[in-house]
Amino acid sequence: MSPGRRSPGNDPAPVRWGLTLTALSFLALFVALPLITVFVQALAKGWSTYWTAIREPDALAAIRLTLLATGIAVLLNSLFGLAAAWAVTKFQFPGKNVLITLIDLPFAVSPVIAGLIYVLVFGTQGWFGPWLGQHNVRIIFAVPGIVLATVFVTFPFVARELIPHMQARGTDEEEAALVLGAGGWHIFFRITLPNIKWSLLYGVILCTARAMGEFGAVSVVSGHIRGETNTVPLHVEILYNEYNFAAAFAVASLLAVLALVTLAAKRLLEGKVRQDAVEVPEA
Amino acid sequence: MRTEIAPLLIITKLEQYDYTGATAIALVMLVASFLLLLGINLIQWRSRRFAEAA
Repeated sequence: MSPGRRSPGNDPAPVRWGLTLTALSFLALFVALPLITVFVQALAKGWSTYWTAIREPDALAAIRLTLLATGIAVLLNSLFGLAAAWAVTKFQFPGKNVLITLIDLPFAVSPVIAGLIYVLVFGTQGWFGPWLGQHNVRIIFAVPGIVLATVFVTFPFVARELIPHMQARGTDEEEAALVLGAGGWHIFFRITLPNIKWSLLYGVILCTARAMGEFGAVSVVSGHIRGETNTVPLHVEILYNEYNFAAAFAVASLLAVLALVTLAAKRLLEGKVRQDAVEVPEA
Repeated sequence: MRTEIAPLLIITKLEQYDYTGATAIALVMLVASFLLLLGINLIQWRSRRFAEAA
């Protein structure tokens, strides 16, 4: 090796250690420490306070609502995401770039705006407001609004996860199946879906985590009615604003546990997702 | 004014029932992010075409 040329492995020891230490202390300070604080604060007044905070009726209602909104959002977005990724990767049509951009939009735009959109469409002064009022349908400041906001915010996760994998695979296998006389649904369930199953599951996990933690969009449309339109993150905020710190941290610890579970699941799946991309049969 | 970011400003305006003001800020942010994303997607699309042609 010529002098002055360096490979990643043989940097001077101080550089290696310095970089590692910097990265580790950054992670400890900004990720690990706050995470530990949540649990320490939650249990600061003992287990009984912790359980009381979580089993309080308002907290249970918030948990139920979060689970409901997450369930609906994940189900819908798995279907829509799959359809969108399929349309984008297996077909050519004009305006595709605009469609991909629209799919990404919920990622880029502030969730508060997502909430505002639904207020403007379905709110009392919105487009459908008067009509909905006449027919006694409540969407904003009610459960449907929360579900809609959650669906909007989590829309890109499944589609974004699937598009690169489906793009990498191309349409060869589907075309082969078509030539051999398979029908559309048959191709989808026997070729397309098995090829992307791990990526799909990965997208669903990310979607679930985001749906449960969503604050901004839900906050705008919820109206903060305790026990009725309060999700878990909103409940944490209410408790915190009431200086009920132990309870706020106790409920927050539920979300933290969820984050840890998501990370573990993500870690387990990552290898499998790579299989989806690599396992392309020989041409 | 010092620790106010655009989304918080929207919330403040909504709480004051200033829907027009909130919508104006939201529209600017929406258009900005749409154009930004469209630009990124076009660059990606062009670079992929370039790679396929090469």
